[in-house]
Amino acid sequence: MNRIDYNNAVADFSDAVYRFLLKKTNDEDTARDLVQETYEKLWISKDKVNSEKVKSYIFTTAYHSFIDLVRRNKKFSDIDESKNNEYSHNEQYSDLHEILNLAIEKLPDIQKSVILLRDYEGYSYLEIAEITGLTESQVKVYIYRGRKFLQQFIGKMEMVI
Amino acid sequence: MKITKHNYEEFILDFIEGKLSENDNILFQKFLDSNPDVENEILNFENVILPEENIVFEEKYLLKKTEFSQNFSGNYLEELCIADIEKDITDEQKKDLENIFTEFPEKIAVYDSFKKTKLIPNLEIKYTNKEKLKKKHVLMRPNFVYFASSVAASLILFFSIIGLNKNEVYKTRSYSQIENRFENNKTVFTKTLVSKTDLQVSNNKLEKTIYNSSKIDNPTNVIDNQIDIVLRKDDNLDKIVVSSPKLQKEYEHEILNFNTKENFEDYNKMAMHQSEKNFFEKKGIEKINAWNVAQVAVNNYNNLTENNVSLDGKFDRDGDLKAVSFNSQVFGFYTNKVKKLGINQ
Repeated sequence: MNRIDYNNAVADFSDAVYRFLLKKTNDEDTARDLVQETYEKLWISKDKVNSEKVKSYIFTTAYHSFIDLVRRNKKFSDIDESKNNEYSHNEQYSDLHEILNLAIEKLPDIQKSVILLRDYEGYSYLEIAEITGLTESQVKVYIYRGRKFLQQFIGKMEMVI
Repeated sequence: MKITKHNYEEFILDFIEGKLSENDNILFQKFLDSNPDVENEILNFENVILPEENIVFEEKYLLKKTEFSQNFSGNYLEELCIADIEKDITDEQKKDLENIFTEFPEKIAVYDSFKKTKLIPNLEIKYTNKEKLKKKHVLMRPNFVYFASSVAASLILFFSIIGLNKNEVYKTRSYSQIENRFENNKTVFTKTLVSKTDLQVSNNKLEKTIYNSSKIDNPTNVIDNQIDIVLRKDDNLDKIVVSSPKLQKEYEHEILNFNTKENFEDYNKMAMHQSEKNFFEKKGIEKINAWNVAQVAVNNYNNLTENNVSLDGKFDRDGDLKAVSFNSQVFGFYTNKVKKLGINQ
């Protein structure tokens, strides 16, 4: 990958990876830092990266950068911690979008990651597995469990509203 | 076996259903003849028969399992709904799902509830610092500087040839411009101030003036932005220092060796000539001309091409070029490694 390919990767994918990291971190500054870190790593490794696989490389790097950040700071929820039982809250929500955003935040981090990659970027189970280091069947399981939780959460919230 | 009142109940159901052996049937019939109350009991019992009912467990689909089911806590319908949304559904499963919706239309609501779990990215969220991520050509690598300076030098020579004007005013490196004139057999050095506030005066006179030589007459009044420092003829001075205590400033003026015998068109050029001659003579005339030529070339290039290229130099007190900066729309560079550029050679 040369400099032109790299700059094209900036133009083509920085928005998407920023959205992904913003959803993961809920913090604009942190998400921006992670984007920069991701692209710096891409630049350093550009000779080893095939320009056709650059999007996958970017998301893989971004995902692992986020994981590293979690391990360093322990700021975000533990990766395996489940918040599946937390349906209650005190705020009023006026539309599905808000409820869905709230529901996503309740998911365990790994389920949140795979669903974001699936819905935001349309990655296949195999691609998500490569990005996250899971097996393909694990990805499928996490997506199914995540959707089940979201469906139940939305259902309960809509009853309340 | 003898049938009595203590064991007859064992035979009742088989007697009613006709499953007694012939011998037991005869014995039980004899027992009933001897016990009319038991016979009545059996007659009432025969009336209590439940009718056949066609009861079906309709939601069998909920019980169905696939290979994936062991990993998923939801039922089969939920698994089908998610599979369809994920576009991960087989043809057989698709048929099952359609059959369920046909037979139980109310289950479509379950499917709709899973559709709501599909996230949609907000495309208005963008990363705004893309330009900072991009990588551009780095111009400060030494070999590129040498290349750039070679190109620049070539361009400079070209434009100097086509536009060099001997009447161009060159920049001097004197600390101040000093104009000389002859007046009543006296050499008058006039310092042109940048502005009237350069030297604040009181009652139009300098408050304090320092001279290196006592041979200098007192200066005349400040007129506009000029002060005249009058020397007697043939006096030699190294420098004049004019100070203003109020501003706490001192201005140092080098007095150049002045040859009044040379013939110049006007005193301006005479002073200019002397400035250059004295200041740069020991440095080598080629260097001065080369830099002047470069600046002339840059000016001509800008005039001809309506560009805004600049070539600036920093000089030390000895007049040596210490740093060069070149700026244009295409590229620019700065270097203080002047010796490597060979300009001072």
